[in-house]
Amino acid sequence: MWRDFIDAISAVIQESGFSNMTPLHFVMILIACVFLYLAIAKKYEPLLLVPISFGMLAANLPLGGLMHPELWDTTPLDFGAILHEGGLFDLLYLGVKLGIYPPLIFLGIGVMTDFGPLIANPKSLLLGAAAQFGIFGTYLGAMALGKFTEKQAASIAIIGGADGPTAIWLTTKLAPELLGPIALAAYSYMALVPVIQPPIMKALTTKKERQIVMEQLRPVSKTEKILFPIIVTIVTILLIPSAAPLISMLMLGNLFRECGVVGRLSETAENALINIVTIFLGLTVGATASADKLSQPGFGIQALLIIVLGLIAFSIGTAAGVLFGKLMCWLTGGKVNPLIGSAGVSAVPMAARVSQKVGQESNPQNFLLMHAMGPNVAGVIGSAIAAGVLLSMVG
Amino acid sequence: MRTMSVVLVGMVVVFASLALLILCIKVYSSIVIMFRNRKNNVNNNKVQKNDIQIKDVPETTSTDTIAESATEGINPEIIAVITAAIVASMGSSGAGFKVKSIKRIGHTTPVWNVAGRNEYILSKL
Repeated sequence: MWRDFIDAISAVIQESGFSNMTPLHFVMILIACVFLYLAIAKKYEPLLLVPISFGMLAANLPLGGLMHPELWDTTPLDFGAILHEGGLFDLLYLGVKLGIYPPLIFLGIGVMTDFGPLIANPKSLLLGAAAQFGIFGTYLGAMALGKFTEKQAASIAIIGGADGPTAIWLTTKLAPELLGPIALAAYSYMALVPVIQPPIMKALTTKKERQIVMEQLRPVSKTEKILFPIIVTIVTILLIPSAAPLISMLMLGNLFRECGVVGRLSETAENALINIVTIFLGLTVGATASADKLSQPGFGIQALLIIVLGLIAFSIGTAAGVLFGKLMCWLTGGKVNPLIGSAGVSAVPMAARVSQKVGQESNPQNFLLMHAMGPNVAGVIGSAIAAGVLLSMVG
Repeated sequence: MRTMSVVLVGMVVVFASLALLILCIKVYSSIVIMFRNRKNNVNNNKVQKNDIQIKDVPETTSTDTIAESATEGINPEIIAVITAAIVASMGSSGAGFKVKSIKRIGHTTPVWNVAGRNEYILSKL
């Protein structure tokens, strides 16, 4: 009787996750807990980091069967096997793998974005373009290191766009094996915008430049705002067809917002839909950072390099935006405050807020927020275009 | 070599497409503003015409309007007389005050008092 009891208990223990736990699983669970702490206690992008880190935690518990990385390593993908043998996260991950979630998030972002400052001052689009130097500069650096393939380098470089959905979208197309670390790096750096950007902005500008007060923007009519998403969709997609999924959804969302006749749709896109998609995206992206992946030779070093290269990409993007802002300041005879250039690295609206804050430190009477929103939303379009260009050239 | 070409082509394409967008925004914005200004001018012209008509009306029918106001309330001549009487009783030149309204007050004085006052006034004439 006693013997049977002991056997039964030992069988239960042997079939449990505890006996199948490796040190690597333990490390991953620890990392997931650190991210959870950062998200909950420090409030670093909690809306994304909570599902991402919980996905990482749940997927790394042995025998849970939520995610099967081996199903995603086959080329071409065996969708039959995924549907029959896949766990919950495998099925949800289909939305990431097929490139469905990032454009849906862009739909919500489009509803939440006011392109008015950009329409009032179209030149700010150039600042959004300049900040994309970070992407291409880092691509150059990643290739020079020789540790990454062309596709992997492009996926890492897109972190410089400071746009989570774009980074995920491009990485799933080019280097899905690096999705976990790239997504984590992209969202972490977005949360760290107020820490990373100000020293670079201050180092590259003089106090006099930071004090420049810009002219008030002209009011933009409703007709102009309605025409904007339609024209941008036509022009951009005709020019770079590979950017179509991101640009079309972003502009559709904005059309919902501006046309004023589909209140229910815009409300759904900016609240319920974007929240649902964010949960699915976060959970499954986190789940891709599994111990099995980490155990692959060289993956740890790659992940570390991604973190470093991501920071470099972000810094180059900020610096390029500020330097281009200085150029515009010089060309316009001091009418442009160079600080708005740093907002060209997407990260809406955090980067614009940083421009406002740094500007006010030098001149408390200066209000740069609306001026910085122009390059900020231009950065979203710019990074989507850059992703499209990389996909068509490298993919 | 291939890497450099990706970087160069990438940046040129990003800048070119955003520059094209700037051009498109400027063109359609100026068209929208032009249409709006034209519409505003048409509306302003209409308003100006209406103003002229309104101005014309009192000029051509000024006597009618006075008659109307007379039928509505007190005759302007009586208003002028009352105002002059107030100025005279106050012993001033009339500057520094404005008559805003003149209202007829109902009789609250007992009728025998009125009769006695009238008798007193008549006896002084």
